[in-house]
Amino acid sequence: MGDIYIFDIPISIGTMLYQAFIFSALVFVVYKLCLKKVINMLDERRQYILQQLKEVEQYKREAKSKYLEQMKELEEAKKEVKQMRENSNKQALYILNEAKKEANELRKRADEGMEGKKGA
Amino acid sequence: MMYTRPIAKIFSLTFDLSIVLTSTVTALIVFLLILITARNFHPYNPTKLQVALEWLIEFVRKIARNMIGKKNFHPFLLSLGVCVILYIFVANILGLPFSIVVEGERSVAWWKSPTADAHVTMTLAIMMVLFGHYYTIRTKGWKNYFKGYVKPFKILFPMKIMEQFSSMITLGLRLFGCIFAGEVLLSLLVAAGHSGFFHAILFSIPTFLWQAFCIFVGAIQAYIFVTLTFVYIGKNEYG
Repeated sequence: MGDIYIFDIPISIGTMLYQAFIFSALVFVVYKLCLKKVINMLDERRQYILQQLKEVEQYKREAKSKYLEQMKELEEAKKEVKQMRENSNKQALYILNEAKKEANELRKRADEGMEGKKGA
Repeated sequence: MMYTRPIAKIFSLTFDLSIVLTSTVTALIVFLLILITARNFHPYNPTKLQVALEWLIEFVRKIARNMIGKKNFHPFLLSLGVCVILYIFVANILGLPFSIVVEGERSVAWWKSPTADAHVTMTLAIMMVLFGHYYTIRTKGWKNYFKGYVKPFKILFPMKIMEQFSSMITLGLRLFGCIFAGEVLLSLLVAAGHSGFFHAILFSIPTFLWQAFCIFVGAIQAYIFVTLTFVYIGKNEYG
């Protein structure tokens, strides 16, 4: 039954040798033919996806900073518009006041002229 | 219940022909399964089989990462893990659906699980432990490898030697015991069902249940074998 006996248990070396041969053949053939390629491909895909995620993250950050910039500019533009409006209002009031003053002056002068004529 | 083995003697070495047959069939099944999957491998448009293989590779990678503690291994280690887990799983369930026994003056069992024989499991265990040593020597060098035997104390040297043998023997015999016991109980149930129509109906349900349980045990044992292989590799690496 067996080639050698260990503690009266028969052990057939040929079976073990064949088993070792077929298993190592399987492992090496599968590694060389299939799994090397598959594992490399999986790693490549992982790298690709990681890179894509990184890029997306970067784009997101860029988009956010650009949005904030735009918001700031908009705020500034609004402020400017407000300032301009205030200025123009002030200017308008000033002009109106000046015009009123001038009109009053003219009226005064005219009245004075009229009185001078009456007196003469 | 005990069948004799078909034995052939070549060059004064004995070969158990039933194991030669079944282990060759197992290796062929595993090889074809992986070959068919890898042939149609597409990185961005996976088929169902490919998803299964990818899951298995990631599963083994996770085990290896937990046990060895590195982020990237040589792809050979992963490939070995995938081959071992598939080979043992297929070998475990190979004897479940049927068994072939040639009746004669001495009944000869031709078809059974190859892992229900201690020759197969012990060979696999010896190969795995030897591969663990090889891997350690490759990664750490001869000097550190031998230093590992006298760390942390010199007095532990005999223990470390014994540890290597005990881990090898437990790795092989655990698998053998589980699968052998499963097949013995299965053949007992089938033999009990043979004795009459009523018995056949009575014993069909436990036979069915036990077969399902044996598939579960086969999967668990394959997982345990791979995990322990990586445990021993990782232990050599850091122990």
